[in-house]
Amino acid sequence: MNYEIVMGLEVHVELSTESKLFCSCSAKFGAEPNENVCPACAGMPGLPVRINKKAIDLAIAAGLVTNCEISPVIAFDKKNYFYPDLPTGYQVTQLFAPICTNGWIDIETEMGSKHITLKQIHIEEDAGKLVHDARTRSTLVDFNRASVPLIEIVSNPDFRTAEEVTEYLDKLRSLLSFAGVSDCKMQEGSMRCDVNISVREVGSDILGTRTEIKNMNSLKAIARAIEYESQRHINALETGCEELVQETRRWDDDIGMSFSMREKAQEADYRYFPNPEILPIHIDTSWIDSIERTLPEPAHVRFERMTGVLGLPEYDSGIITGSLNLCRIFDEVLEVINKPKEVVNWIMGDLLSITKASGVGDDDIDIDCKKFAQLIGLVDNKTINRAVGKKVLVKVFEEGIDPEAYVKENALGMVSDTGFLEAAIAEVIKENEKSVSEYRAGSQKVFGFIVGQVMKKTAGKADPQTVNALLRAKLDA
Amino acid sequence: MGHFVNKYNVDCPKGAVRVILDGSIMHKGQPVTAGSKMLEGFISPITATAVTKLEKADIVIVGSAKMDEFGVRGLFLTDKHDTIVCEAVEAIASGAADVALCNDYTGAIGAAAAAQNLFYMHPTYGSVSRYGLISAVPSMDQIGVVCKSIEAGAHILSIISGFDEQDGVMLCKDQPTGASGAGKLRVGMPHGMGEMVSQSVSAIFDSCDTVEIALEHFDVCEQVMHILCCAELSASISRYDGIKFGFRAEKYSDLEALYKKSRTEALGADVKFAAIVGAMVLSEGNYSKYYDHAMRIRRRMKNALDFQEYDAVLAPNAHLARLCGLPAVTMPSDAGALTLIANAGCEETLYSILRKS
Amino acid sequence: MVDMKHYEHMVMLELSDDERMQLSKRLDTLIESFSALEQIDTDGVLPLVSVVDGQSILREDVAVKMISRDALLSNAPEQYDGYFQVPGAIE
Repeated sequence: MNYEIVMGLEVHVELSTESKLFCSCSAKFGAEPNENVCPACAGMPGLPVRINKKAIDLAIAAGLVTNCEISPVIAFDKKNYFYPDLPTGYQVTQLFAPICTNGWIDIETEMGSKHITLKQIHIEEDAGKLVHDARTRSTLVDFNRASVPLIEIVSNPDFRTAEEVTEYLDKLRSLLSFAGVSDCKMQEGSMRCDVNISVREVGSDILGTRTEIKNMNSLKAIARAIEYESQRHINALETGCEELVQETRRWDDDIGMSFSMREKAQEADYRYFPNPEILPIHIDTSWIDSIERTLPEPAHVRFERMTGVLGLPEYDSGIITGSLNLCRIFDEVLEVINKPKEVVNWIMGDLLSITKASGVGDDDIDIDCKKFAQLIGLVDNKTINRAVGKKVLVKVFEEGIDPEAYVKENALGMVSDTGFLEAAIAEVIKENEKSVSEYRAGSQKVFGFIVGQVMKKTAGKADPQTVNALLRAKLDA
Repeated sequence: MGHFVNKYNVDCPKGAVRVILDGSIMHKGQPVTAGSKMLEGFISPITATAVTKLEKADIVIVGSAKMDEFGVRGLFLTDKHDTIVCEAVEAIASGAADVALCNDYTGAIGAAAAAQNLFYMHPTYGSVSRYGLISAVPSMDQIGVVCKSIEAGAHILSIISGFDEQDGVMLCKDQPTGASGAGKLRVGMPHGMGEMVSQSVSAIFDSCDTVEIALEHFDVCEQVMHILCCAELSASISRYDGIKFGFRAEKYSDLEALYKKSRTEALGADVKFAAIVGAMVLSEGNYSKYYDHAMRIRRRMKNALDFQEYDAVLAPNAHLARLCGLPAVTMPSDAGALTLIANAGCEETLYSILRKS
Repeated sequence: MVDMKHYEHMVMLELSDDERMQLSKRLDTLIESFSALEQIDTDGVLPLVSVVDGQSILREDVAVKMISRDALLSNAPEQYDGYFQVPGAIE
């Protein structure tokens, strides 16, 4: 029996806003418990809802980059249930009038391109966090995350493999981070994915019993969960060892199994109704246009342009387009020095090795691009050599120094004066008889060493090209 | 303490207006319970905008008064002998205060005020900030005034109304006020109201033209009120769970028991009833038949009002006014409490009609 | 007869048998009164959610700290180390 796995995804993404959805508390991650909480988001009475415009802006942006239709009027609803992380006893969400519908994303897999369709995107508020304290045997509640704005991106059941799922999530992360919607960091919880999965015989039209798996905190965990759950479904169908029930299951990555959450989804009647505390919001074309104008070129479009028009290597283009920040740096430097290959080499070969050594992530690199460009120019016009340039780059990155001034002050200018260089070469030849003999005996390897010695003699400032030429002439003579 | 749940011992300069707050209006640092045991011990972290505005106008807040839990009892009064608890009305009647601020979404407070020969004035929905008002039925909650005269009430309303950015559902700043144009004002009387208008009240309407009108679905106002109020209230009180503030049961075995014991012990019978009705009308199988249906009838009622044909409507209760968010004055008469309703923003029309009394 | 227990559970209440009997009677009467709504045709009429014709007033995205954590927790039945505390295991 051949089986087909059918999956749909519900991805929750935290929007990059300063403040929460319905109150002005900070929405930033990482604060001490209950520091970013006010009476409103702690569920106290008497504080009317005040909607954050930026949350709507970002939801519109998300809809634009996923090719959705944006609703001209949106409203919010109350979803009623009791849980300690839900301060008001209802979650404000959008059932009746979600902000975006009918979108799509194209992804690339080993099997080729795939068109994934989206059912809708809606805005909702996040819940707080529960901590179980073993020592006091109590449950501790932190409302920092309560009312942080989220969008939920609901796909149609178009996925058939774990690879499609992880490619989709990668693409979604790229699209949304580029659009400034969210930093989409699974490890920080700003992007969470639930998978709805069912299995059926190949060729069948009918969907099998569906289970929802939650609590996967990385792409790898998602892949493992899909592997496990699909196999569990197949085993159940083939051997009848267990009955498949429509339910929500919790993935435990340490153990590598999913566990039933007691059919929560089936039992709950959420009694959705339109939220009378929130008036509708009209989204007209001028609002949508104003958001569209702020959107940068999406990563995959930029990748095509970098590899196509600019003729840059795929690997390098892939790294640059992996971070909006690197794209920005690339663009700003390119504006001054219009030599794409050089700029990309400087970023990939020099800048990134410096930043990685300092433990700075690509998204967090903060460098004065004008000064960076100026530095590249100094090497380009042979004012300084590459090796010196690399050292000066460290200074530009760490201290923001002005390259031209720094080079002057420290007399780092490249030495190309033939007379000076010939004198230095003569000295080196004298001091390195053994190496010279080896070279003359046929060893090419030792040439590099001798060049190195000349560079040392000139405190690294010699023009390597000139040294090369003069040295060859001298040694081959 | 008499009428006061909480008497502020404040100096009251001679001639100053003394205002009493009903139990759902918050004052920073003061206990506030909305009449509920679930809010026992809760000290308000904020002051209501309406209160701040009054204090700025040198009006003295003398304390807060006892009320029915979340004002719900007023929804379920079955006959004339059923009464509500509203010490704010008692305080005005006895002279302990001059004006009371109340949230009379059910209309029962207005009726209680009228029984004491007082007025209750309820503003246009969205004209007074609800910041600092403990919510019961969000689509109808407003802060109104119990007062001895229309002038006194209008004065207080003019102080407490106005745009507040802390309340996201407010009327736009430039809302037209009152069409007290030239000529006689016309008061619409639904079927049967004409007979109800007794001697004591007819003097008011002598200076007006009266018009008999037919209001669509007027006869089912009460049912619509029941459905909408219970549904909205059931969600408004879900935040009272014993976790963050207020009453918590002493013994419970698990989370569900914590919720159930705390809420069952602390909530009164009327609130429990409203919550259950609310759950029922919103539940999946019933939503369309009850809640959705009631919301559509509500729109029908609002659409049926035609303030071109008349300037105000006289009704036997406040349901129509609350369902449509319209300004209304509940007044005493020999035939019981009557409610005069004007178009949104047209408080002046009401004052014009009633000042002639 | 309405299944009161079903709705009680939804709103986290657990009535005594007496309470349930009393409220059950009230509920039956109320539901009976709702039958007057059945005949009304509301086809083509949109539900009214709010009486205010207009849009939500939107707020600029600026973070403001309104209250100290101590003040926030001062109303909590129990607090521990900056958290709201609920004694007992919760699964």
